[in-house]
Amino acid sequence: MSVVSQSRMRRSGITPQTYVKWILLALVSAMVMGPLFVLVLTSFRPPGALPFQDAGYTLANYVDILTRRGSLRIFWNTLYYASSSVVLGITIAMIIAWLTERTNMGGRTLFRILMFSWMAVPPLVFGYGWILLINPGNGAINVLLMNVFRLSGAPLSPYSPLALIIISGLSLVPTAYVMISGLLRNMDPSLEDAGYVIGAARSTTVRKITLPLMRPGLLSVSIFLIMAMVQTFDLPQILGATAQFPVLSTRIYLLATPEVGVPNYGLAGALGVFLLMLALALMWFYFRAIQLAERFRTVTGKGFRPRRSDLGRWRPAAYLFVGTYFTVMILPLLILLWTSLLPYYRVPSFAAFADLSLASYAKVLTEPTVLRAMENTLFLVFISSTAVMALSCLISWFAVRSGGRSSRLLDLLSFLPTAVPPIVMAVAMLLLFMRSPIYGTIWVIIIGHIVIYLPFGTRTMNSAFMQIHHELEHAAAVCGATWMTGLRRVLVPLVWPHVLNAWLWVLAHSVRDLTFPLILLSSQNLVLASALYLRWDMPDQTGASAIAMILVVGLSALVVPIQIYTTRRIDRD
Amino acid sequence: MMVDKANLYKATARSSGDNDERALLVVRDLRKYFGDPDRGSPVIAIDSVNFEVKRGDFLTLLGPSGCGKSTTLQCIAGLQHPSSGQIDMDGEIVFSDQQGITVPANKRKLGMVFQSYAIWPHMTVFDNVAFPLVHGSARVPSAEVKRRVMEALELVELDHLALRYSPHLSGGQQQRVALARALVHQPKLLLLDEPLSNLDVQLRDTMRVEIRQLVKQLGITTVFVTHDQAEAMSMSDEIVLMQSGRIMQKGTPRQIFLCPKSRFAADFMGRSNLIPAALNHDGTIADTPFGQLRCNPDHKLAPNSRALLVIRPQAIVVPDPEVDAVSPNTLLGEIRTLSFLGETVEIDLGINGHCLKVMADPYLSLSAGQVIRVVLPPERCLVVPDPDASDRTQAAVGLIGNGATASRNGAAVRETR
Repeated sequence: MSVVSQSRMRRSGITPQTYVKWILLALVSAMVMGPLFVLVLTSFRPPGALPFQDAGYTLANYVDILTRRGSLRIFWNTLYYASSSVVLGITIAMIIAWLTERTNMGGRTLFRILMFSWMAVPPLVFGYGWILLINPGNGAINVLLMNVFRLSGAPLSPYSPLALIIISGLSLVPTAYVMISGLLRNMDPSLEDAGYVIGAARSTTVRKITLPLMRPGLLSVSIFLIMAMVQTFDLPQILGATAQFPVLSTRIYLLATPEVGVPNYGLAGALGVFLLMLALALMWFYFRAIQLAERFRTVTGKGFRPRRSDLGRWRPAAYLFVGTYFTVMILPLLILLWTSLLPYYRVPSFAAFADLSLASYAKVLTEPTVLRAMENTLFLVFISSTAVMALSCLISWFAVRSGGRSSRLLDLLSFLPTAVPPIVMAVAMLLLFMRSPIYGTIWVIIIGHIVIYLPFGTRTMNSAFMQIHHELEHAAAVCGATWMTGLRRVLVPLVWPHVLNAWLWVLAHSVRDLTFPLILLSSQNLVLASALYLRWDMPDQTGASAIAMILVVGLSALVVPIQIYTTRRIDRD
Repeated sequence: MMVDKANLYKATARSSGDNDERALLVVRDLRKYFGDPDRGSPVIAIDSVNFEVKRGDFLTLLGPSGCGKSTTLQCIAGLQHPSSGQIDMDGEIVFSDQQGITVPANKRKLGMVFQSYAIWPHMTVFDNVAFPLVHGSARVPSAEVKRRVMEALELVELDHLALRYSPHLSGGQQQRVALARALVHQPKLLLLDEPLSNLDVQLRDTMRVEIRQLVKQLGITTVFVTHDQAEAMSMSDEIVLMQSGRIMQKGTPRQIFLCPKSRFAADFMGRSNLIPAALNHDGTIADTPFGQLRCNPDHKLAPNSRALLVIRPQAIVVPDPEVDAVSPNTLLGEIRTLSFLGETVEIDLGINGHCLKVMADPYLSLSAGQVIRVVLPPERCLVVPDPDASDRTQAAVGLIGNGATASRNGAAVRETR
């Protein structure tokens, strides 16, 4: 009896939700602001000093960057690399999205699933595939071209700024496709019909109505992708280093973990602050573009099917384009598969078929370091993706349902890491945990991944929860369910496909990421991405190819079925 | 019918001590503001709401949208927190700002049916109904769960659909599931938030009767929210009429309909003739555009004040022209328009250039252009304060704005609705 009356005499305002909210606020602000604080602190320390060493403060690092002659080139390289690859990626993605969403081209469901499943291929793997295809020494395509055209030297090379831009552009097509096909799907066809009715030709309608309507949406997608490309590390690292094409992220990596000499954390920190500012500026532009896009919003909320136009005599050209694109995407995987089956790399030929075997796989799968890396990878990706989704569900509940200043702050804090480049966050984590016992363990990578993928989780859950009528949740409360039970039994199951989708995205990106595993590398926390990177540099191309194939096949086995399932579920709802 | 099984259910469902005459629900001085009171003026959703519901009674909160009826219900359910006031349930305080008590919604042991029914689409009908027993505060052993869920489903005649998922149910079936889910854990209080508004007209009429009979047989105290006065009158023991966050009138359906205490009450509860009037010194005689009329005095109105004389079209008597009896309040008028509706005849009567709405017996032979005698029985001529003539009730003017302006401009009689 007394227990009952005590639980009933709860002071208004202090509910379990309130406790959870404050714990989340403390946790998220520590995880997001803590590392950034240390980063900024370090950037003001004299060269060679550690963040928590009492060595006074100085502007030396900033002066160094601003007066050094190479600095301007690095900034220029970064912007040039990011914007050119985005222009290429968006152009290809636009054409394919148009073909699959707005024309009667066959096989569009297959293309859609392929595009959505591409996240199973890490850019690192894609880059290594291209090195095998077009390296000047014995790249398969180079050898083929030399034989066919009787050339004396290799015509192609992956180690040039142009090659880096083209390969990066190709690898971001699937992401751009996912975003642009959404834009095309949600466009009201009656706006285009209005064009046809007054007698405009199809090309005129596209030029004068469709494209202008999409422009704000395309602008925000472009800025978002530029923001992402400014932050990328893996492709610039494996291709750009040899090409003598440094960008901000690779420069920071080199300063923080040099191959010879001592790390210069102060300079890396200051450069990180510059990259952070660049990303923040892009984020500001992104929000402006979104506001503009909202004004142009053509979504009426009605379920309409965009009209599909007849390809007519353009059909062969459409198939040729899409076919070429998928061939270009699949070639690097094929050459990796080929290489992984040989004792050493050989140009594809019928003669080499006799040597095909699974020996490389047997070799890597019996090595303790690789097995350890696989174990670590599984641990890392399942823990970080599950933690991100658990946190996102709670944070988004407060953001969408509870309102108030602290909930808005929580929402904002969880979105902030979007503007924090992974390389900056990784260096910041390195500085923060350098003297702590978890340094060198898999846990630092887990924490890093939770922070940088949290924005994706909360954005997804915010929009998912917004679609759920609040009475469904109220009904659970009136039935006597606690807040947690309501969340677990009613709200989260209702948006389950979205949760699963976002969980998968985080998991795939956690597998793909090289930045954190490499910056925070130790003998204990090797994962498949860093194992692949180290193996390639050894160099052991066949072993690296085998690891790459294990990575892609393993991830596809999870990604493809879940993508098919959730695409169907979400389409049905 | 679904009520046939209610007696059986009741025998197991009801606990002892039903004959207690104490009120089961007491709402004291409830207020709810939205927005920060420190910054600018907050929006007042409900203002000093007081009422009680006796054990086993069916009470309806009635009013137009935005009158605060749903907010009041949500405060009772614990889904919203009032700004101040007190709510007692079964002798226990569940909310009091002064004592700092807020019992959360999940501890109030209520049953509630929502406007959207809120049937969870990812569960079967059985799992929906079992939820309060499995995940709620009144958990029971699993064998017991099955028995009680099936009993509740039998009660609403849906036991054959137990394993179906809710998206495959019709609107009426979903509503029955919602009702079963609200009753399965035998709550002391049932809250119904406009449960009939999403049903088609015919189904609404049947459900109206069935819900009332069901809760009456189970003896469950019920608070019902609606904007439909016909629903309120046919279902309730007591009606609380609300407007702009305040209670305008409380009473039985009969009291509210026959004795409206305000222009709003007269207006909202069906048609009324609202006639501007000047009262004499003792309030028994009103000076109106139709001449001097005797009326049923209201002591709350000041002598010689301006008021509105309210008479329902049904209250007006058309006497037999052959009988030459002299009654007070007899008027002569010309039939301007006449519509024969079968159950009644609706007449617009022109008197002194003004119009009086009359509902007459369909068996009388009347035609347009005819001059007839009508009697306005004095006890049926009510007087209510005229919002236009008093500054105190300025707030109400906005709501009836157009009509108010019209009557001020000389179109003296306003027939409503």
